[in-house]
Amino acid sequence: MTDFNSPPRWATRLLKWYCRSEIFEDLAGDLEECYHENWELYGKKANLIYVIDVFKFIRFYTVKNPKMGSIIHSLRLLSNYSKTSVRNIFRNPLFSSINIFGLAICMSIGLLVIAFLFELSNFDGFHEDKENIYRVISTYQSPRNGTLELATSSVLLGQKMEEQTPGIKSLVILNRTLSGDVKKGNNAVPIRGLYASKSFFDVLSFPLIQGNPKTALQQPNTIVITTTLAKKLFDDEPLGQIVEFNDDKHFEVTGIVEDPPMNSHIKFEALVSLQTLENEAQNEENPRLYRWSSMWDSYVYLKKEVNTSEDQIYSSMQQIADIENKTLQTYTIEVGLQKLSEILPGKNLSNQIGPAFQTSQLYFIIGLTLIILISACFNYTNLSLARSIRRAKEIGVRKVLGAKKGQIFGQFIIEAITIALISLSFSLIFFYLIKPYFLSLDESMSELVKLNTNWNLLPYFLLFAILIGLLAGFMPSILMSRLQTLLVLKDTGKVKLFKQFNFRKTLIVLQFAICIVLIISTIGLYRQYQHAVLFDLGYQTEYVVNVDLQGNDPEILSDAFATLPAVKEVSNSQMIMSTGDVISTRAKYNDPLDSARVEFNAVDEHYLPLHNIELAAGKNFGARDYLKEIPSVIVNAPFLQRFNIGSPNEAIDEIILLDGQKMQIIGVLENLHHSTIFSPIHAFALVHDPTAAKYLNLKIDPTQSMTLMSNLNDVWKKIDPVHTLNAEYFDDRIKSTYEEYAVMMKMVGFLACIAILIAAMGLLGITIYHVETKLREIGIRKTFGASENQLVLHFSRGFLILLFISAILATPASYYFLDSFVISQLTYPASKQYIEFSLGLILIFSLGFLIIFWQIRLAAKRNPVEVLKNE
Amino acid sequence: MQDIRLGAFEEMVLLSIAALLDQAYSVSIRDEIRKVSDRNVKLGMVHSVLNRLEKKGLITSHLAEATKKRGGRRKRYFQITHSGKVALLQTRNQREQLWNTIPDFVFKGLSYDRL
Repeated sequence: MTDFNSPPRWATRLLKWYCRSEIFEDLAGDLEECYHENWELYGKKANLIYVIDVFKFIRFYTVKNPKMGSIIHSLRLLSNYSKTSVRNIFRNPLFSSINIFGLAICMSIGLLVIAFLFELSNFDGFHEDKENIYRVISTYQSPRNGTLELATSSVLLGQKMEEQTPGIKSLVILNRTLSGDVKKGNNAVPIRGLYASKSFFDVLSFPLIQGNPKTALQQPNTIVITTTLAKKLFDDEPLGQIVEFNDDKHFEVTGIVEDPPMNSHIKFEALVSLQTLENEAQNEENPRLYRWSSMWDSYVYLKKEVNTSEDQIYSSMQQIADIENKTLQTYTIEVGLQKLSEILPGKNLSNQIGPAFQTSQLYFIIGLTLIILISACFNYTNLSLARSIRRAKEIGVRKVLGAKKGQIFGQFIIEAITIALISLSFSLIFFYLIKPYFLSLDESMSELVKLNTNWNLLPYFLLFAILIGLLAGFMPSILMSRLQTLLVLKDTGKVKLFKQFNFRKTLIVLQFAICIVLIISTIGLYRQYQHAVLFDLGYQTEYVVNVDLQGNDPEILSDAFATLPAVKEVSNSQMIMSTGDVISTRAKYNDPLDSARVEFNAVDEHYLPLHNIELAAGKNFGARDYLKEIPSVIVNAPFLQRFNIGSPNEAIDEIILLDGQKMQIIGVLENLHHSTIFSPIHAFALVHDPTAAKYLNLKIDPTQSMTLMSNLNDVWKKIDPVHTLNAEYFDDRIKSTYEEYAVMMKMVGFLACIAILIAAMGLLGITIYHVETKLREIGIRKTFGASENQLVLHFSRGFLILLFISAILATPASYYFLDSFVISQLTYPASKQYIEFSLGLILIFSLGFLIIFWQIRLAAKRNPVEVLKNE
Repeated sequence: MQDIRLGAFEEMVLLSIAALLDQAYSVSIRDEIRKVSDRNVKLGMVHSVLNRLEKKGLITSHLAEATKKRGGRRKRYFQITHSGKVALLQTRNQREQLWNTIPDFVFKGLSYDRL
């Protein structure tokens, strides 16, 4: 007989818990006997059998029958507990308000995150058979340019998969290049939409109100429009009518689809059959649409058969990719599958089809919220422990009267939960107050979620409050229930309340450390943001307004704008530099085999003087340079280095090959930051081509900027009544480029404020109670001649040491945070100064000092007679 | 005469208790039944039947000495009561009456060993 083995103890305990005492002994014995028998037969499996048996014995005749009396008894106790909780809340208004207020503020953030998570988890939930829907994604891998993960894939891959891959129920190819104006009669509406292949409605469940989902997108030149667009375009029945698109194409309306819902990551105003694009491509030789390398604009979504595994489809895709990758020389395209449910929130991919939210961002938000919540729970724990001396007698009396440990524990837990539930009702108010700020944090946020509260959320909110109550009340409840009755009743004053003072100190230190980390990070983020926005780009962006041409003729518009008195100069360009936009192509110099990726911008001859762009050598473009046989180009120093062209002066008049076109270098740029401060200066070229213009750049007279926008709008409306004017100050555009930092700064800053508020309230509460217990000592010291200052020094020393410890802990932590999350991403970060550290520390310290000194001084000033005469 | 109807499994348990004399407790009863029937009798079934029989007053039980084997827990031994014996006899009597009414040729050529 092996005596070493004994059945799982928890199962036995469970049995004891539910089983009637008169049956328990022999039943447990029987089970154990069987257990040993099974151990001989099956070995470890006996444990499992034992557990199953314990559960199987839950029967009518074994279970303790709860007597009505005991139910009433426990109900009465429960009501008693909640009554005493409420009384206690009122007896200590200061405590309760600190606790409730602190918890309420933090819980409102918790509620916000819960509502946010709830809404995110419902994303794309409306698609039928959604667990079988996948998106094909690709990874661009090049030894020179690194890797880039994309949400897009190629049309070619989609078509090959449709032909070759078994186990696919339906597959749809989407292309995002559909944008322009839809016209019906005199109604013209600018739209953004998707080209979609015919099985769109088989894969994705966007409800088609009119039209046949099987055939709506089959024929070329057919369009499916959303209800909103239909209302804008038509007064009558839209189905079967012909609409004009971009003045040169005609599409037949074959269906009306409901607007994509808020919780769809695919958004569109119209769908045009992919066949339309394919017909256009037929006229080309080696059409770009069907190239393996054209994986920047198309998406492939598929629905697999239920009994096909993801791996089967993946390996088939892999085979296709392996064959096609042989046609590429300098890079490869890897393919992958992404589940519909993992798209949003999902990993960080470029070329998203619609709104996106990264899982890492989600974790960041949840993490910060948890930190704040824990901080508020610390307050509760800390204050309850500090107060426990007061309540020791109550517990002693209850214990004498027969209360068990569990009951005392229950009472304090219920008290904590009561407080948490009261806080919940307050936090709902805060929730509605901060909701609009959360939604306006970032432009994309309001596109992503609405944060409407509904009854479905209520159970989560309640559960959350109860959890918070448990978390906050656990430590005090445990400690209270362990109090020794005799000791408490004999002399309360002598009760060394556990070793909890160390525990409390740890909590205070942690709380302040959190505050310091948050405040230092906020200041650090603010400095980086300011640095990014005010960064010297090597050219002038001040008082420059960029106007999106939206397809209008640049000459007509620039002539019209030039008549305005506020506009001093006008130039045009293909893109706006330094905002993260990139146009790139390949360039060559003397060696025909050596090509490199070069970013460029096409501008007119006014562009350089308007922006005060300086040249290290050479001259500006002439007005007719783009008509020359060998057009002019201006390059930067990294370009010269890449091709070993030599010094700026030597480079003038050299001939290079840009996008297959011979060009002559006429100038070399001086230190122009053409991209953001996230990336270094690459090889870059300015090309003279006024016909490629997409933007007008207006130099503004700063004295007349007040009425500028409305004037611009008036001019615009005369020329283009369809589109709305899209004009923006260059500096504002740069600011929105670094919006990410502003958002992060606002968020961390807001949380820092809350954390500080909570820590300050906690410190205030603790100090008040500390002082109150020391009143007699202060009185006696005073009568023996201690001065007020000596008293303040003596009693605040302990707290000040705590603050110092938290500073020592927090400084490296915040340094690490700033370094790894912010500074490492920037190629040109703000120089490391320690101003953020010192500023953050000074702020927290002065706040802490203020609270401690205030309270202790208050006590030290009291007349000792008042304190001591009652003894 | 009291009239207590026994279910088939109850009858088996009751018979086992009678057969085991003073060694009848749940595990041994289960083993006994397993021996004669090819059913995989579970402890839980035996337990619930024992509970029912005790309620009906057909058996009584007492706790015996603790044994090491069972984690120091005592066994509950069962004994058949007078009414239990009566119930068994009644059942047997009913069966035999029915058997007796069956003419011999019904089972002609069959014997249990050869089944």
